[in-house]
Amino acid sequence: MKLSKVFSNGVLNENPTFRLVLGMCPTLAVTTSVASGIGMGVATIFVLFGSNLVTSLLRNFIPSKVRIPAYIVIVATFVTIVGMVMQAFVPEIYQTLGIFIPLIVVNCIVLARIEIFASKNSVAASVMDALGMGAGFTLALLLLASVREILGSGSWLGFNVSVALFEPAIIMLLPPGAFIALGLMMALLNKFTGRVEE
Amino acid sequence: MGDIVKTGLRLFMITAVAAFALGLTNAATASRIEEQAIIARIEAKSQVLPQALDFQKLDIKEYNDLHPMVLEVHEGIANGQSEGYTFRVLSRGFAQMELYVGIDASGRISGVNVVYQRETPGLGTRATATAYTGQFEGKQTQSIFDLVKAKPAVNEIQAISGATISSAAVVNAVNAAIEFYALLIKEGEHNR
Amino acid sequence: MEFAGEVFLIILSSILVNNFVLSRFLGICPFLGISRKIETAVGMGLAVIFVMALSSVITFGVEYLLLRPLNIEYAQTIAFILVIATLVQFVEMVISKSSPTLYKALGVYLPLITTNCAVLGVAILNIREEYGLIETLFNGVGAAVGFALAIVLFAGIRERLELSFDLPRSLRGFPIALITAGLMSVAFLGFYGLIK
Repeated sequence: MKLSKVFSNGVLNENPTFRLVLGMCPTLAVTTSVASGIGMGVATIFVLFGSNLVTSLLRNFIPSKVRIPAYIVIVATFVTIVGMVMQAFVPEIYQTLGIFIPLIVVNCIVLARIEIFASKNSVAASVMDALGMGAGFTLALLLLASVREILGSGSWLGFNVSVALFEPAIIMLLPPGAFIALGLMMALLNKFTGRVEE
Repeated sequence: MGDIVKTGLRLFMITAVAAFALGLTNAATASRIEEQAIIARIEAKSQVLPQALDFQKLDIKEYNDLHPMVLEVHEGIANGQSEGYTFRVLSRGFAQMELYVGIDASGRISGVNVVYQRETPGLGTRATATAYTGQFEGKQTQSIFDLVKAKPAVNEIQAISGATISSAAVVNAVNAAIEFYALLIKEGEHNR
Repeated sequence: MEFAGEVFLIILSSILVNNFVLSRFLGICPFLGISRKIETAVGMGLAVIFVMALSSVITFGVEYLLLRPLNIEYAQTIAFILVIATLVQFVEMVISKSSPTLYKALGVYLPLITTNCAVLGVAILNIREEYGLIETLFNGVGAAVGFALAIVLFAGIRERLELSFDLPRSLRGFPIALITAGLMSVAFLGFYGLIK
């Protein structure tokens, strides 16, 4: 598969959020503001990148019997590193994302890509897959966060956007808003791309 | 047998390298993280007692049982004079909340600053924003504050509608600081 | 007596007020993926309760007996997830030997408990909230019961939906699942004021 195709696959055809429906926990939890969404996206891209890279490099070295613990060690290491770096250099975002930074280790996207792709493909392809999936995930976060922040706080990236036009609907920032917004977005996407479930 | 050893050895090697990488990163970032925490603490104190240039920590071990919510008390100094006190208080809304309360030399609230909270975003977080905490500024501290829904009197604070629990958490913290301050005055540590 | 009251509050809080799935967004993947049949949901719920209770206590021990004394708190993530993965493997082995029917029913869902963010999530939360051992255990059980409650309720609703509704095609599958979860979450919002 051409490298660029691998990348675009992660963003569009197999978008981890809208198509593969993976990584739901952080998607719903951190999209109360665009800034948090982007922060989580970047952190996840880094973890995906590192994990895919190392797993692909070691794909012939990791014994199949213990591959799950090995993958876990690799991913957890990168997650901890990302956490430490964020805590040192962007403490406010680190605080806002809270428990969801260490939870990247159980973000199904990371583990799924390692198992399905990086363990069986070349380093170059695995890296492109990581970047593509990461970009796709971040894009989804950005979209959902934009909707929730604009409708829920009347701002975008902290800048007041629509406070003058309508009263923000707080429910968008609460759990129900997250579920319903994402559900409706997926439904719309299904409608426009003609793809349907079952 | 040899197979298991080989498998175990490889897994061990991977784990060892991972542990090494972690230790390295920790060494590289630990001091910076510590620094950030210290800077944040100083900034938090300055924000609630801007007149002070330096902060001296008070030993409050003897009062811990009476006022467990108050974690730290610092005296703000400027030009050799006491400018008031800052109180680091722990409170609880939906989740744990940490705030700084400043009471100046004239006994008025000089600032309330929420430094850590995990309240409901968009709702409870409003009770930790300056629009709400600003209500406390300038108020006298002869008595503690009550939380009301509307038309607050001088010793009352208006709650954020729909965020009563978070609003109460802030008020409870400020009240704890006020009570502690009254203790300090009584003990004569503060010359009026 | 006050301690018992506090523990009761913790349980009530983690089951209803701060329901792990519908308020804290932990455990969504299995919640959306598994809950289409009530029996599977119940089986999964029970397995999760068991794993979460045990892992809460074990990770508590790891944090306070190993990580803190050795000053390697930053290894928390890696240590906890390894504990959980090992525990799940162990549970899988035990179930496959003692009740092959149950094992077949749960099938692929068992190893998925490892990636259930609720399990790791509650372990980390227990430490952050600085709970003691008993509170940790009860919080773990409470969180798991809340999760089980959510997925069983959800399975019940979805079973009904699929039988009685003629949904527009673009809503079928995950979209309607998410919207249903959203409405359930609104219902659970009502519990917010329960604990003062």
